[in-house]
Amino acid sequence: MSEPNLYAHLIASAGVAALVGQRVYAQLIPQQVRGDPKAYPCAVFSLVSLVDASTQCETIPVPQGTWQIDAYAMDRDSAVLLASEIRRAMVDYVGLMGDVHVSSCKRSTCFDVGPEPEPGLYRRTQTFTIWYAES
Amino acid sequence: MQDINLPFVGGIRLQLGLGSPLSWEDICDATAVGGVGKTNASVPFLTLCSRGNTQYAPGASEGSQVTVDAIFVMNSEIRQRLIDAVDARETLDFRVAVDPDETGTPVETHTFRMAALGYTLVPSADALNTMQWTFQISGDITHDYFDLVP
Repeated sequence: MSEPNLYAHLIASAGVAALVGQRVYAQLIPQQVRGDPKAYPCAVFSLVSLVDASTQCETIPVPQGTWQIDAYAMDRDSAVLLASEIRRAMVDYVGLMGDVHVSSCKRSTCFDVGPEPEPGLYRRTQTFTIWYAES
Repeated sequence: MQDINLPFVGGIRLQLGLGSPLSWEDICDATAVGGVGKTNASVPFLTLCSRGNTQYAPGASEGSQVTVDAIFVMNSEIRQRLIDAVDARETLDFRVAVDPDETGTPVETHTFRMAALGYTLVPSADALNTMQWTFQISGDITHDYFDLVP
């Protein structure tokens, strides 16, 4: 079973890459860079839920996944800007995302989280609902 | 084999009869089937023993209207066949097959004919596209039970 490759998709987005380079992480910011101001802005994605639907014969190989993508920055404006670029890269995207075909991508929620444990760190969280065909 | 005294999930499929003699094909696009059954008419009667109270007897039965919710699958032959049936106002053969162990050999079947009344497309911008079929059971439902001894 495959799932959307959010890392490859986000760093392939010119708008996101211009802000974070390759600083897109799965689930958490690596401990070794967490305290380094040069580690920001960055994006962190994690799977929130994956839901299958079924017909009377079988499970449909088109699951609905919800991913959370956090935009971290040292100031709020940068976090908001990165979140905006992430949204631009994700919303209404249709096509290959890694080796799966995405047929729908919508933003579900968007909100600020804080205060962060790291002083002076800002985070804007967005969740995206993605329907994709398993390869 | 599953314990037939236990409830179970899934394992009941609506099938379409095709060809002659009939072969049964699962309607695999279907996600929910509602309304298969029949209702006997309530016939009031009075006898000398009724003492002024209306009594009732079951009269002629009427097949129910059946709805089938389905996902919209491109190139589904069943979908195209059923759309053709609605267009041509056909009455088709159907069977509900109970097969808890998914062996392909049902332990119970309910067989009937249904008039193809209509369909509704339900496109969605943010979820699976679906559709709904409406049928009317025409005539009786025959029941067959197999292999019910544990």
